[in-house]
Amino acid sequence: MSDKGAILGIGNVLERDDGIGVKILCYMDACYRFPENVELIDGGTCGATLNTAIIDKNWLIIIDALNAPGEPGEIRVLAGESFIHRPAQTKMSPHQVGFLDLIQLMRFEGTGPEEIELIGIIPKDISHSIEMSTPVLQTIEPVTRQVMELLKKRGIVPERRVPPRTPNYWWMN
Amino acid sequence: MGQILTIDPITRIEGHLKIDVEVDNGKITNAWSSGQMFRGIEIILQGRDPREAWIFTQRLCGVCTTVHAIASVRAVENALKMEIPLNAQLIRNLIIAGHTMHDHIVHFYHLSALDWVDVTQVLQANPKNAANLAQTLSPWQRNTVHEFQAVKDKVKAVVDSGQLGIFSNGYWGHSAMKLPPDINLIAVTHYLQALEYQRMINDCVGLLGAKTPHIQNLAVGGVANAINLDDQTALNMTTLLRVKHLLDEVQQFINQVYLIDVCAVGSFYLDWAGYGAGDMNYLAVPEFPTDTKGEKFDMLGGTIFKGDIGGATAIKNFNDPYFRDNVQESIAHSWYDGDWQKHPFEETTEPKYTGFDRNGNYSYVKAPRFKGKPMQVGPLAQVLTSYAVGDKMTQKYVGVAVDTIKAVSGKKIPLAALHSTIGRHAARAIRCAVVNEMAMSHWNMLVENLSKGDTEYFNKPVFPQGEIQGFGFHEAPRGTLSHWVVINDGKIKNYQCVVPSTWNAGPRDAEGQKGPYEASLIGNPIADSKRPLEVLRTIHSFDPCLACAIHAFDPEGNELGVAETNI
Repeated sequence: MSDKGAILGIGNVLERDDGIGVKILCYMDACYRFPENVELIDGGTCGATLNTAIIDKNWLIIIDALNAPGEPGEIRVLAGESFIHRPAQTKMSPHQVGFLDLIQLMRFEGTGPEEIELIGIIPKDISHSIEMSTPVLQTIEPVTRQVMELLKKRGIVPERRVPPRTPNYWWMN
Repeated sequence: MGQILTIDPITRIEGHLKIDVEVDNGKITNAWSSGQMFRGIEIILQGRDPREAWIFTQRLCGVCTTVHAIASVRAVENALKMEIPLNAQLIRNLIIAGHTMHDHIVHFYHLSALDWVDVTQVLQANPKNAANLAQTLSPWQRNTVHEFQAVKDKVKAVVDSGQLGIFSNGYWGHSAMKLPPDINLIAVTHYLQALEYQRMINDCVGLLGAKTPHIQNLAVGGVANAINLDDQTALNMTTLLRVKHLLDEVQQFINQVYLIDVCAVGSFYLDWAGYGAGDMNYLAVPEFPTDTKGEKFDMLGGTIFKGDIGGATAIKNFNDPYFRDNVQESIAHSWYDGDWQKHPFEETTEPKYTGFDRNGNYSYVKAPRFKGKPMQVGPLAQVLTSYAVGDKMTQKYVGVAVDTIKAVSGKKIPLAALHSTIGRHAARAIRCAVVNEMAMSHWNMLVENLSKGDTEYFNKPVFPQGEIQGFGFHEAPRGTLSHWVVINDGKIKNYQCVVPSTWNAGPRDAEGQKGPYEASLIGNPIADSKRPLEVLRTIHSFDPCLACAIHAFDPEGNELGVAETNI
């Protein structure tokens, strides 16, 4: 199939709620079988090095903690070019190339996914620990449903694993 | 009393690096570097299996994933006094080399070039003149009128659309921007081409590390790559030839583009060879081990104090007590409980935030010291110490840089010019060329060893009862990284990471000695206090990377905050 896409979980699993994107990715992987043209990418804390992983994709669904006004555990779906064309973050944030910067760079180059959707979860606590907060943990199911909806619009319906596997939350062991 | 400028990315969930500078008559007279985020990986690791520490430490930071994995396995192997198979050593070296080249290329083009290159000036450039100039400096095949015209058109389209995207935060038109339009066009064109080559070298890391962005193939005791030159499922000759091909491609880019660009851009900013020196204390560790014990290295390291290159001391091997016994960290001005200066094995990590106080505590970064002195780490430290202790390959590429600058500017640059902001960029390009050549030779060593029939890649670690200690160092792209581990009955009892950006970005110590960022900012000019480009130039030249772990998006937009207050 030529239409390739990826679901990308971003965040740091060692910083509580910041890791929710990666956790949901592990959960979905345990519950569903995805077709070959859909890749699940654990982006962790990476910016520029994700370039090679997404260069051949036509679309992306990103799951990440979102710094936005609202209550912890609220889910926001952002789509379209507007959130990509915000002012770049690179200046003093010494933070190598952040993920949005990478997308902007690829836009300038004329490469990478044309369509990007972001499912953001407002975190409660992102201090250093591996435990997530209750309101954020409660988003695992609804965000998974949201991803399935977005996939359905692309004509993709992943098959449920029966029974589901145990999610591999390796950092919790 | 001068005016205080604060530069802080204000809208992130947590802050990153915050630099305060005091400006008097257009010059920086004092500086404070503050890491705004607590990094508590050490606490998460306590009680865990030391064989798994590297999997956690590579999540410490978004950019330096690989480096923390390498330092971690080396620390545990050091505690166990283990040797690792030669193949494993060489595979690790190739991963290290690939990651290093990726970092250096991305750092120059995508993170710091725009401190020196004015993108909007590209519109005034003449692609034909740019091609003529570029062709006199380099045999690079892609320096054509056609390529330069295409990029000029691309930049014009972006400017006309009003959506500057990645370029929207630049200090365009700043009086400190001095490149002629044609050089700006050459640089922006190579900025785009660099994207292709950083992908190639990242692929190289992926081929050897089983996966990127987080490599999967490390193990305490070696690597987890099954090796069989004829087996499709193992590390085989097809993979190795692909790695070689990528190294060749990237070598052309480094030698014919990156190194040349840094020298060409630098030629127009020779005044910046006079800013950013700081204390001129340097630390680098040896890298690219070529034996199973970690006693022989292809890249040398050591220490230099007060710029005395002739008086350099070498750090010899993975067990060298000169390194082990001379590292301490001070928390006199950091947000931790206490005011001690201790060796990493004895340290604790108990955060105690007390508010930002320039005269008291002002950073989550500790202040590492070597023999009690603040040390600059990074490519400049590595190049100078290698040069000083007689590293031939480093000396060769320093020569290339000096010749290129002479060709562009007509001036012969002394080695001492490297003690500077622009010198850090030059050193990084020199180091990148050295690392590529080294990767080639280690690729040959690996293939030679495999064809002899040696396919060993892993020695099983065995943990004794009782307490053992180990340290592992790695000369990472940003400089000397060390992990320090105390293991008790096979479980981690204490774990400390002393990272490059801690050496460079650390605050003052109990004696009031400034950290390298702070010291290097003193005397820098500030032409426009509302747009302190010069501070960015000096800080970016270190390739800073603090708190690189938070990636929360802000839909409102994160702009650089510049706040002014008077004291």
